[in-house]
Amino acid sequence: MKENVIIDLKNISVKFGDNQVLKDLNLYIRDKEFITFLGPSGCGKTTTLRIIAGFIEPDEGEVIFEGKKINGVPPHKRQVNTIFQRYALFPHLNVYENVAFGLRIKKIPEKQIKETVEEMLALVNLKGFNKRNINSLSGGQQQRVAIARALAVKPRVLLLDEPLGALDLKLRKDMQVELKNIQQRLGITFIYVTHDQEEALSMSDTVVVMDSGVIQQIGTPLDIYNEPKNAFVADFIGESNILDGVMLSDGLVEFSGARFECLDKGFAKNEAVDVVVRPEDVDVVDPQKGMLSGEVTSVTFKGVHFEIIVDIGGFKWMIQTTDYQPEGSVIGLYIEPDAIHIMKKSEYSGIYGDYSSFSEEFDELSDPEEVEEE
Amino acid sequence: MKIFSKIYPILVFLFLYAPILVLVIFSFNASSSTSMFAGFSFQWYKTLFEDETTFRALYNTIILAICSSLVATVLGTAAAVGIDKLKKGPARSGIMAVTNIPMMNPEIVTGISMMLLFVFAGRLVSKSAVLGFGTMLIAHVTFSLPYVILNVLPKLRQTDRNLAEAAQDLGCKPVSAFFKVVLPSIMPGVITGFIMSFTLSLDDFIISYFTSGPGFQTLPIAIFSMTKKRVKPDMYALSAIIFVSILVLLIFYNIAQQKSEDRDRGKEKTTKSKTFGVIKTVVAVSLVAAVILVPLIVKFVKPKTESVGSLKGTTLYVYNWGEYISDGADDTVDVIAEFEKRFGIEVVYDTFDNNETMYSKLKGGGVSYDIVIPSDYMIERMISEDMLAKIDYSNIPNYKYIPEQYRGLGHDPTDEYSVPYTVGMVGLIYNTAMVEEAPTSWTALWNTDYTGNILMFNNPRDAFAIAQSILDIDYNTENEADWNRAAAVLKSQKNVSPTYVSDEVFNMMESGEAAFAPYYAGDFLSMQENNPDLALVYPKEGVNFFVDSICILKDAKNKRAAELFINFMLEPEIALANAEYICYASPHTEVYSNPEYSYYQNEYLYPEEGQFKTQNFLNLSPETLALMSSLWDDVKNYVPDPNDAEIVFTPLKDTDTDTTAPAETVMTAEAWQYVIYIGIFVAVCLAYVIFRYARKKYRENV
Repeated sequence: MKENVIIDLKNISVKFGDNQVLKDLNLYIRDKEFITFLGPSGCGKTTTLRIIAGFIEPDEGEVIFEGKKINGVPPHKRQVNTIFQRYALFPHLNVYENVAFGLRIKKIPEKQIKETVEEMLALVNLKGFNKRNINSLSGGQQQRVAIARALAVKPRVLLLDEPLGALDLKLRKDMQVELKNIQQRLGITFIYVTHDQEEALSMSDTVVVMDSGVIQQIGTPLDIYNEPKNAFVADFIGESNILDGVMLSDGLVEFSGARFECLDKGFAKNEAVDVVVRPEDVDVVDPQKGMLSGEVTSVTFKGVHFEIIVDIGGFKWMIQTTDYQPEGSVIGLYIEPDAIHIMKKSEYSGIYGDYSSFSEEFDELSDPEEVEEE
Repeated sequence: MKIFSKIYPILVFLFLYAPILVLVIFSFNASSSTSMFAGFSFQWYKTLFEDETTFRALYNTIILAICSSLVATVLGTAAAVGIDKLKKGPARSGIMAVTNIPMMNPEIVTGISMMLLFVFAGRLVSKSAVLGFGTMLIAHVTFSLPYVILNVLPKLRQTDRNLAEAAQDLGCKPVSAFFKVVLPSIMPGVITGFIMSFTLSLDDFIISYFTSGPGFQTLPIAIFSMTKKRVKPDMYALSAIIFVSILVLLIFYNIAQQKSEDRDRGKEKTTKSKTFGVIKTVVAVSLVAAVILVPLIVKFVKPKTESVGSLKGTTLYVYNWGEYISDGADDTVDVIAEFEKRFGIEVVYDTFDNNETMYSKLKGGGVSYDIVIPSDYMIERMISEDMLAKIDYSNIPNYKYIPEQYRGLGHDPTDEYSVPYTVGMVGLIYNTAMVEEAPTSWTALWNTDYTGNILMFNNPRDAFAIAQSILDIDYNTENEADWNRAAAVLKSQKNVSPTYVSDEVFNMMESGEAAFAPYYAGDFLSMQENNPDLALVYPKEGVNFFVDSICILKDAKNKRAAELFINFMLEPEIALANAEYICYASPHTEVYSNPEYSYYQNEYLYPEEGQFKTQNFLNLSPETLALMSSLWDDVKNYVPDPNDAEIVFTPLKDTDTDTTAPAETVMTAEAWQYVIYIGIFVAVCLAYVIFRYARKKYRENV
């Protein structure tokens, strides 16, 4: 099972003062993999990255790189390189010298340095920017220089700490594609840290969802989205209606006062569970035909679809549909068995309620920039 | 409102630059007058470059400024990096408060406390003469440190926190990451801090004054001690040079700053700015090199001579008034150099500006001199406090030139401690253009016909002496009633609205602004050169007569050389050179009876005897001094005049001096070491710059 493992973190714990940042974290990373640490601010994802880079020593646990324990090895002796949140480019050096920095430290012949730098600048589409000053570049260009600088020293693993956080949306999307291309072309391991679930899902081979210093779920983007392990993951990845339910038997669950067929099995009889229904998986039908029915309390046009909040027995559902439903109208909901996902109860159950207090601004506010974790 | 915004810069320029402009203009004045421009001339620049004392002081100042600002910059940058790493909280704000205290603390407090600390620490390691280059260096580093920290901190705050980590990530060791990446990005702050501490060190007087020792006088101290006579115009020349240098430094700095801002804004480097950069580097390096090398060359060119005697190679520490020895300017004899040449004894020569300063410096401890030249009353006081050593007159055969009338004077009645150097009298100077009939009495200073045109001494002892002459009271009376009577007389002078002056008397009399002024006859001669209308009389009531004598200090380390020096000073040609230079009367028979002497039978310096009474000052009891001081305040405040504030130098508390300590190493040697260090530093910097340039060229050509 553990083939091609390049980095293995075993029982890692970190405390900053009284603050337990990482709790007994176990994780292995395969070579040439694009892995993303995803989680809200303060979940420990950056700390994990810094442990791999060598900037933080774990209080407990082992960091293993290609089978060798590297606890205590200083950053400059590790075969990993980092792209920092704000790039940390050297302002007193020009583009060329920034990229050449790591090569010069390694005392590589000048001719070879020149070749490598030119190659790297070409890779990030910055040909001809050699003599440009760092401060004269745009955010996206600086980002590219940072990538070229880190890649120039041919790292085995590239660590990216929210590298796209400072870019605007359009640029961010372009860079996502570009980063993925670079990773595939060079065939090196990327460890990516972000709090943006969309970024994580679209780029990664593997996503590690973290919260409060604990890994909540590891899996492919599809697994994470479709089969969230608990309410936290379900809520954090995409939009979810999370309801209290009771598993009546295999394939039959009761919630919102109705019984639904589902595909999930293996729960005890009458076990209390969390039920996840994604807003896009709900079909809007006539109230009489619906498995559930309720009144539309708000409608928001989102471009591709409408976002409708429906009050069903006091629980506010979010539903995405392409058909406009006027506010105040009563609609019926139809849910396919494969649209229902059952999760065991966890510490997160009940924290993520319905969409009664939902608003766009609120959502944005809960996504502040990652604060320093030191 | 618009008009104000236009007037404001004009006013600023006027107030800031008018004085400097005047200074620069007068540095090219052909005459020595400070009020009249007599034509364009470079003579003061010439004099300046010939004056070894000033040059030494300038050189010391620069060495000290470079050393202290370098040390402060390194320490301050390190401290700023440390403070920056601290989290916000009580620890950080505590450290910042401690950092800021030296800036808020009055300099006088810093100066005195540092001196006490150094002297105390010196005692602990039984080193009596602890003050010197080292202590000044510590003091200067202390007061410039906060400025470096405050300049570097904001730069650190601006830089990306991850810079050092990024460098380590790319393979740099932590230390080299700091030097390769963090330091270059905070460099503008470091340079500003360096320049600030450099200029602060350059012009510091108060702290330097308290922490300086023999052999290492800085320019501000040297200039200040010139006030015995007056600030010579070559100081204008020097000030002008310093101003221009600082201006050039600032311009370069601003251009550099501008360039870095352009860089931040993303402007491309132009070829022009590159060429300019090279020129700038060359100019800066050659400036520094010139500053360091010129005095070095001056020093090496100076002839080293052979001489005999066991005293050869020893050092003699001399503490004299500023401008009180012939120094070789304008083809005069350089007395100190001549002495060094003849006897092979190195002379460390420092100057003071008044008796009280000299006294407190010696009493404060931490310094150790062999020779000192105080005035009469101060000699009496120093004898009574056992500060002076008895002179072995058999070692001074030239004492024979001192005539009977100058022997056994009140302050040293038994002729055991002092050898007269210069003598002088206070006379009444008047402007013949304003006063028709020559005055004969001090009461001319009370004449209401000249209200507003009368100048008066701005120091109590001299002012009271005039009143005492009028009342026929002994200058040295201890009778309170006598002092009260004299004070009443001085108060009555307020009717003529006298202007209380010290050095300003030169300007005001030379420019013909005032009719009467009491002053020293020797100084009158130089005033008369600039204004031939001036004349001097010795009033019939009597005048103050003073003697400045050469003494040997009790804790002298080189008493034999000191006696040799005194004897040398009494050699007829040396005494003549000094008398010509100082312009005061000489108590030396071979001088005043020499027909070639410029002031031979000069009516002002050598008036006929017996026409008027002369008295000299003796030491007053502390009670009388206090009385005089408070009465003087009453006099000054009689008609309240807020512009006048009397500064009284209070002697420091008595501390006994350690006389058994071994001879100290010569300060100048220590200073030389630093010169070599700095030379090495500059060479390394130059080599580094060249290396960088070569490497860049090489990389471009690959």
